[in-house]
This record gives sequence, structure tokens and C-alpha cells, in this order.
Amino acid sequence: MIIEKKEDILQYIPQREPIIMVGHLVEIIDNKMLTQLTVYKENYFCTINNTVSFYGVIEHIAQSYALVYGYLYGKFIGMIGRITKLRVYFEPNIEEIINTEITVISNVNNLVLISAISFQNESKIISCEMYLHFNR
Amino acid sequence: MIDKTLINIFSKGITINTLEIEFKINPEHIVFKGHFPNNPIVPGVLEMQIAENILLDSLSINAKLFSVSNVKFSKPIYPNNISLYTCLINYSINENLIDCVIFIKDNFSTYMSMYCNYKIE
Repeated sequence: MIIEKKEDILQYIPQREPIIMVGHLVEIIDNKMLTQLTVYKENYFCTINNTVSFYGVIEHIAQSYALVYGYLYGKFIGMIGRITKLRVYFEPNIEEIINTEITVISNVNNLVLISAISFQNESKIISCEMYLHFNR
Repeated sequence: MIDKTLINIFSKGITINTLEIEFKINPEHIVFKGHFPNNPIVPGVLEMQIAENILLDSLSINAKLFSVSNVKFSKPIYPNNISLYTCLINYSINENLIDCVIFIKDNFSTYMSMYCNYKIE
């Protein structure tokens, strides 16, 4: 585990409550990284069915890479520029771990293209490609 | 369901396969305290959520996002710029899918354009 505690997460991402959507940075191996999140009931993206809305998971993917970027290069505001090839499968449960695997496809001039897949209990939640721009 | 703490609907234009809904964003919404402190910006995912809420509320249909072939965020929306935005949706219903082309714009700019579909439940 590279970053485990919430107070450490806050060093690397500019988001603050109630919209912090990344919990742990588990590992970085070359251009691949793994993050985790557990959502609780007070979270903005918790639905009336005690699930996490798809939009919360998409924000989690964006903040997952923002955390990696902050860890590697320093804390900067990053914005989603474009999302493609997004497919959603099911809304994950709150209070259960969401695992997200990210692969960096390209990183040029602070514009980063990633592909991402999020899982809960080994079932796919969402997959997509996402362009993120960081204001360095 | 529309999050009435986030947006206020001002007018609705509903014709066959087209929705044109005007709305304002509440700059005091709690999300902007964290995104970002002293620099509030509407998260792109909230723009997507606003579009879904407006579509499903206008059609009185229960559906969930199924796929997005492309969503582009051309310009950030700053909630402190009190502006009247338009959500323009062209849609067609094919069996259990609603295929959509959605824009969020104002008189000067397009902020989001999205090609997506929703699965009717």
C-alpha cells in the first residue's frame, strides 16, 4: 500500500469533502496502478438504494489518477476533458471496496489518457477511457 | 429525480424527440465546498448527472446510464457565474434503450457534448 490514510490522500489531491472519491493508492507498477475506495452513506453519490451512482464511480476513476499524478508530480487541479468507450455494468454497494485498475496510455504536456476498469467483488462496474488535463 | 438543491429549472421546451430545458446552478450547493475550496467548478460528472436527471424527469421514465461513446467537456462551468444554461437533448427510443445526443450550453459557449444511451428499467 503506497497511500493508505485519508490525511495523506489530502496532500496529493485538491478535492475536499463532501466529494473525496478515492481511498487508497495500492500500487504503481510501470504504467499501471491500482486504487481503492469504500463509500459510506453520507457520501454525495450514495443512492437511495444504498449503492454508489455511476457518476460517483466515474469521479472515483478521475480522482484515482489525480492521486497518482499528485503523488508523482505534485498536487494540481485536474479536469476531465473527455471520456470515451464508457460502459457501465452495475451500481456497486456502499460499505464494500471498489477496486480500480488504471493504465496510462499516454502522458504528453499535462494531458493524460488513461484506460480504467472498476470492480467490486471481481465483478466489473465500469470501464472507460478518460482524458485528464492538469493545470501545472 | 432532479436534485433541486443543485439546479432550478426555468423553462421547458419539449417536442418530438427533442428536449430544451433551461436551468440555473445553485452556487451554494455543498459539492462546491470540496470541488474546489475557494475555486468552485462544476464537476464534469455532475454535468452528466444533470443531463440524465433532466432527460428522465422530462420523459417520466426510469432508466440508467448504459454507455457513453464520447463525452467532451469543452469549458468548465463556474457556479459563481450566475448564468442561464440550456440542456439540449435529441433522443430516440429503440426497444429498451434511449439513444441521446446531449449538449449543455449558454448563449456564448458549449460546455458539454455527450453521445450516450440509457437502459430503460
